[in-house]
Amino acid sequence: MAQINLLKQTAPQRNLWTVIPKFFASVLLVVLIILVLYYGWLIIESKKVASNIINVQAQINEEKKIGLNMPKRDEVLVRQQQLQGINEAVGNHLYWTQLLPELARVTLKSASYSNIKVGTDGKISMTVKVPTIGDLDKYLQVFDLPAFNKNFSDVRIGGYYKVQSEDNSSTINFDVMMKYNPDVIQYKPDSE
Amino acid sequence: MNVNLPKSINLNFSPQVRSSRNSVLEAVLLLVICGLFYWFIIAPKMTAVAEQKNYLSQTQTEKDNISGTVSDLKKMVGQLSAHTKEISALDEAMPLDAKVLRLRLLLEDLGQSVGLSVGNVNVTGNTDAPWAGDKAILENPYGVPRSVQRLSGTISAQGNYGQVVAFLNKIENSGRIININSVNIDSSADGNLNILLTLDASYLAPNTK
Repeated sequence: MAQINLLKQTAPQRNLWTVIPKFFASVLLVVLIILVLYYGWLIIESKKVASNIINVQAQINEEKKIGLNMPKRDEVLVRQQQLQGINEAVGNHLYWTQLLPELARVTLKSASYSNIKVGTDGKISMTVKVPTIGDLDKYLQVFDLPAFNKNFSDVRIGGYYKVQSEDNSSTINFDVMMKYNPDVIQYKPDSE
Repeated sequence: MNVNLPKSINLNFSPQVRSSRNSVLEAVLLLVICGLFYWFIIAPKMTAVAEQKNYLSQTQTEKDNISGTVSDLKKMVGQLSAHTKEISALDEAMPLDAKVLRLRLLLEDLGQSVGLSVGNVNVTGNTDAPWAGDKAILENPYGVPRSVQRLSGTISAQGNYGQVVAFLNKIENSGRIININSVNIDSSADGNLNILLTLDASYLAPNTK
């Protein structure tokens, strides 16, 4: 008699449609567990950071207290203010003695000044004396030369007139207005 | 034609199909739970922790800055007593009081030191500030708020060109910082020059109440 195998010949077919959802569900379960753990870590981290903030703020308050109660602190602050003021004042400090030699350099030798007014606005007004009208012309020509008009410009004559002196000699007097280069009166380290 | 339908239809799914259906349901549910948990609980917490960390970092930076400032302050306090000469120079360059008379005396001294004959000297400052006896400042000279203020004045003098230039030079290089704002030079009948300077000098004055 032929033997009959009652057992199934093949194992039940493991369908992909049954395996994938199970695997996916397991993975998601693991993810959920990880998320819960991560949340727990976040809570712990948050508490730790909050505690650190409180500590650092306490240290700040302590440092501030030390700084505020430091002896001579007020004096240091005043000295700093003083230094700041001095730096500003030195930056704006003007050296008029640098202007006079430069003015002398560009002045005709026969001319002399009887009045000079200089302000910080970059303008000079002067009363000048020269022997003749020709000298007045020469005086003005100097300022057309590049070597001499570097620091002086826009020379204007207010009016000129002849002045007779007691010894019968005469001079030509005139008022001059001109601009000067403000750099001339600024500090120059090599001028010391 | 008569058709006899059974009262209940048994689809007769196999146990495998039922198990598969449950697993899909579980997976979907877990996915929804994970998404909701992340979106509504974890993400806000992450943001909160990131903000806290950012604030901690800012606070730490502030603390470092304050520590640096305090440390610098300590150093400077130590240097104060070791640099008395420099401090005297500071007080000369920019005094802490508006002693008008001292500036006037200084200008006269500078003029006379180069042989100029000094004429009028006018110096004016803040008229509200007491000239002496300000007890609040005497008790705590560095504790009052201060600001840079100016004394302004004029000085007229007479001398030759060399003396005038020397005088200007003295003012320019004086320990007290004096700014000359205008120079007026006239020749006088005796061959000398008359000069009139307008000038100002700064001082670190207590703010008037």
